[in-house]
Amino acid sequence: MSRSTREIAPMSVSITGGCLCGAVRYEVTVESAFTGNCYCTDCRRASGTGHCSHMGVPADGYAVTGTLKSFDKPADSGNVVSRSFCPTCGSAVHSTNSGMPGMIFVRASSLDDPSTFKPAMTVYASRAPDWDAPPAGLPTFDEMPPADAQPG
Amino acid sequence: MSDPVVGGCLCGAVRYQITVEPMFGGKCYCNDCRKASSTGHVAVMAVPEDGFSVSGALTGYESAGGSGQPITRHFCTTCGSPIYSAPTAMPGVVMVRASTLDKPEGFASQMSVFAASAPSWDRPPEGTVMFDTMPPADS
Repeated sequence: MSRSTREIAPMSVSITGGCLCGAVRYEVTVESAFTGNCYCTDCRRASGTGHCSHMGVPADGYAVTGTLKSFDKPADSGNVVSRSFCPTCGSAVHSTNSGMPGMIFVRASSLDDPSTFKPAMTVYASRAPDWDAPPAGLPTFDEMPPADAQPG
Repeated sequence: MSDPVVGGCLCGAVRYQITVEPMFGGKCYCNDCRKASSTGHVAVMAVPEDGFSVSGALTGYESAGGSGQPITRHFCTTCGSPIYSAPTAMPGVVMVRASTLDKPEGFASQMSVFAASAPSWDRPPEGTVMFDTMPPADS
């Protein structure tokens, strides 16, 4: 065997999605680093219901086309969360967090095939309204998980 | 009813007041509501439009609803928060997003519609009335 040894690349995938009107489209080409539901007050306000569902994706595995508009607001932690949406139809597409550079939090709502999403945890469960209870059977944190747990 | 119900968007540019009792509260799991949410569904209060007043810059987007009739979704132009929709199938009624309530505990959902479209990771709540698509016209 003369073939050189190559490093094993992260599992590649092709997950596509976009906004309601179709002006914004994206492709995720790497496995999500983490997934989850967030019930914080800001995620609620921006959600249409009681929470948001996120896929945490390394930025170099995420390509998006179309015009996005962003709104920046500090989170509880003091880190700035920038939420990006389609300015034509308003659909939430993704967010970034200044405390986690290089990660994109894609909204599971925008997936072409939502069955590809599997939330791994729930955060800020203490803020969940009684009409949108966090799902049973997932690791659930009142606020953020401890620093040594998987981020959400 | 007593005090008006108030709410608004994430950035505060859009504010509204509801001065009549909502006709009903419910959740919609249709594909369009999913796409325009941040998860699998939206939670709405059906309010007669003459009991709903809103201020601030909104953008509207019209598409065909589950009934095939147009529905216009209104969101904050600055921060994108969904505020309300106006379905032509229900003239004179606006569907205000419960997400935007200053006191969200004031909301109650009596039914889930388009439950057949709900993703496995965002199931309609047990104990409320569920319809696979829309309720029959006489319900």
